[in-house]
Amino acid sequence: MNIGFIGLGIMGRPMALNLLKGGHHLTVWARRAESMQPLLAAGAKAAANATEAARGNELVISMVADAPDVAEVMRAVAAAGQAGLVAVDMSTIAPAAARKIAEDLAAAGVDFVDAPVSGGEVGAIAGTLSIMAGGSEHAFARAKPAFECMGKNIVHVGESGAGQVTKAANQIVTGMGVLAVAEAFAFAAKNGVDRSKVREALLGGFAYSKILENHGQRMLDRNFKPGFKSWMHEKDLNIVMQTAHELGLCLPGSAATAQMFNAMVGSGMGEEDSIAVLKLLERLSGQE
Amino acid sequence: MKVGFIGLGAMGRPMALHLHRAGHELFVWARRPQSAAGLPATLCATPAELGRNCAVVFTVVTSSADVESVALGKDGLSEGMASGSILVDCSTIAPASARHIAAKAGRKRHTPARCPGLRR
Repeated sequence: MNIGFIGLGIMGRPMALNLLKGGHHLTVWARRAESMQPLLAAGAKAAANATEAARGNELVISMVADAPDVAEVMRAVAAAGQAGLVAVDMSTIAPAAARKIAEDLAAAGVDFVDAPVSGGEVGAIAGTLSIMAGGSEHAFARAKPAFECMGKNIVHVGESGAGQVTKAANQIVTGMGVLAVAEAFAFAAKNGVDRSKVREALLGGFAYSKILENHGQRMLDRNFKPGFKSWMHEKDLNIVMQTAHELGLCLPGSAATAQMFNAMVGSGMGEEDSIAVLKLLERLSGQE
Repeated sequence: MKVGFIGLGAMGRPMALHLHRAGHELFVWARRPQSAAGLPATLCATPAELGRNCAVVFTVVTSSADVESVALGKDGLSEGMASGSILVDCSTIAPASARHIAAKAGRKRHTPARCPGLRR
């Protein structure tokens, strides 16, 4: 398949490389020209801009930072006037923003799929991402061969926006999960109890989770390198809270977690992994 | 091994049955004797009497106060349990209360251990 790929950061680069490995023909574009180099070396063609990345392709995929970036990229994609094109955005943005982009693209005759991912850089490199998609059956089916090169657990959740709703739900669980494990560890340490033993014991009970297992171990190792930067987790929980406010939906746990990540960004920890919320908790209780 | 078991509710009863199945001889005490009905165990009149019979005793009750009363109260376990015997409390109670019971019971030269059941 001929695919255009826009956005070649920590996530986008390995995802695009996996599409090449899967035998697809790739045209890439990134705001910073040097991010295109690894892809060009692997056999991709360079586009001069996002419009050119869409032209002549059946599928165009974006993986960028935030909703305004996606909207801008997709306006350029629509300008290509490519009949029958399916545009897929795999960034994490607000469900409402995804629905708006879907409407704008539909007016230009382009089908849109919102397909955010979970699994981080590790999953992107290994091609084992979870992909949660929103859009028409037809558009999803067209994008599926590309999804299969990048992910393992690929779920068509519903209509436009449903993928982003699912990703937001994912960020609620992972955000509160990280904070829950950090609080448990802070509690154990303040009580003079060995947290590595606490983790070991909890792994056998109802408190078991991948977050306790993987992130818990990284907390014990004091390894706060991202991973997933806390400013990005803050951004995602901001999407959750914004959407909740629009709906009049009460999410007290997400609100508290969002404020902790907010405090991390404010105290200069934004570039660290969101599991560094443990350090913030320790600081607040004089545990340093 | 002769094992004592106090607290035969939703958690305690199946736990005690596992001990029986593993071949241990069960001694039980229950505030309401009917909760011990049908259990393959010797029913004791007081925690102290149960303590006199067993080298290891498990408690699975509700609150800190329940554990303290069973362990340290009148006719409680500490009045019966011999030196060198082991009291294991599997209830979920406050850490400070667990430390208090350990210190009090330990003074009577038992060896209390704590292992709250995790599936709550």
